[in-house]
Amino acid sequence: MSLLSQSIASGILIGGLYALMSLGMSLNWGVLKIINLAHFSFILLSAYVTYELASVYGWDPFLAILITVPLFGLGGMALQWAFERFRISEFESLLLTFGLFIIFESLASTVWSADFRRIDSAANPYASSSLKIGAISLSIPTLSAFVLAVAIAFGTRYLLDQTHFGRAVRALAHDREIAGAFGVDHRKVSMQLAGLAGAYAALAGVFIAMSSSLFPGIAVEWFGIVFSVVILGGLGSTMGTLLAGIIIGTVGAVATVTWGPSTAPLVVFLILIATLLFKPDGLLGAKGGV
Amino acid sequence: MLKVESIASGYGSAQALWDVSLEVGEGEIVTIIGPNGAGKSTLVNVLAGIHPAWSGSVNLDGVELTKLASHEVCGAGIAVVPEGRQVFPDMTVADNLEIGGYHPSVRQYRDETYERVIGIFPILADRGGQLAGSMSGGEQQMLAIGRALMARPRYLLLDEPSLGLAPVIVENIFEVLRQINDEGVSVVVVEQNVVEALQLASRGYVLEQGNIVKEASADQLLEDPAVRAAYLGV
Repeated sequence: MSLLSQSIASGILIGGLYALMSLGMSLNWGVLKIINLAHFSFILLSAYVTYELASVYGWDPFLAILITVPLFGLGGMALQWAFERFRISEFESLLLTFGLFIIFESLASTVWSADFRRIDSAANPYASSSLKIGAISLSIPTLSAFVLAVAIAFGTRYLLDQTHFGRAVRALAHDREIAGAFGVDHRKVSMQLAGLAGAYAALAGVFIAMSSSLFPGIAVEWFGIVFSVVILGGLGSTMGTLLAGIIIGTVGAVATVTWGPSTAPLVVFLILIATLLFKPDGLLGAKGGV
Repeated sequence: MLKVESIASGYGSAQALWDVSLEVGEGEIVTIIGPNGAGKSTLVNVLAGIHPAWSGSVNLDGVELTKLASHEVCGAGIAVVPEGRQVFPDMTVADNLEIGGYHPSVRQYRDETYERVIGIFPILADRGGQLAGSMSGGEQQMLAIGRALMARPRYLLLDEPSLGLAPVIVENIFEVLRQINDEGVSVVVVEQNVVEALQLASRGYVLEQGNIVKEASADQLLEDPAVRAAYLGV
């Protein structure tokens, strides 16, 4: 019983990290109609940059945010600029960013080798620290990622609902031409949104570096989880992504303790397929809306 | 003065406008009538900057609109009520109006403009929190016009505002257009509802197969045998 409650608690928390990894992907896809596989590369590279700053330069891993967020925020903007410049379609974006994904993976292999890398425990006191509530222990990096994911999901929702930028984003998601006729500069707004998505990837990367071992191929393992979360939540839906992250995280964790670790991806993909078949707009998604 | 000279445009290899020239003076109401497929919507979209012109010029008081990016055209003083309304269905009525007043050049007047718009369409204030997509066609048309007015246009373009609406609603809408015009906004209305449009406008153009084939006062067009035969069925 305590094993099950522990795994549910861990699953909910890891679900927050999944949501953080998926939110930028969902916004890119739902609003900008870009399926950006380079998003996974941004998470991976952000994790490696965090590793480098902590292990080599002795930074507190949390402080890596100061570097990775602006860096991958700008990266997201630069990519979106190129997508706009060359009028990349949704399908083309998938092929193009798959190429970028391979390039970034090779880059990571070249710089950090294909070996496992983990921030030294001396440089990363958070990895082994945890918050104990009764018999349940919550790891600090995952707990932080969860809290941040919730804050970011609500913050993004507020941004989309209550600001000029957010209204422009929603108008753009529905009808780029009509939005343009009222002064919404789609190039500017979409670059800003892609920058935000890049920043979210960077944050996810920092927490991954704090909580797990890195190797370049790890990014491929995120595909199934992130796509399941994005589809289950509904394209472009912030609250849907948060909810879906928590569901996928919890279901995966429970499957792991109940039927063994190898069944977790199976269950996650079954959820993805069931969503596509029975609720293709996702839990909280609306056609053309965010 | 909105001065359109020798506009050609189309989609891919399909040319929709061949050589369209027209003028709309300050404070005028002008209508463009023509059959389905004449290029009326393309013309509106070119004027609003939504669709690019292949060649020719659209000049608003000395500003060449064809050289502007689409999001800059509304800042020059043009706003559009597109065919089929095209309100943002998943956004609230209030947010649709906010987008109308999005352009930086008009944002500072937002509250004042909003008061003016709900003075014309009180229903938009009552329904502020409702999703635009859940309103009736007539209400959506009011919202589309309200959204365009939020951009504080000097020239208001309307593409088939009567489409799909009950006659009594159409009466209301055209009455509102007259009122908006009285406040100094020039109105360009593209219509298949020829009688209503010509009763509203002072001048009219007949667009057929991408060319202006006739220009006259509204009264003359109403009396014109060819117009009556083609559009009024008499």
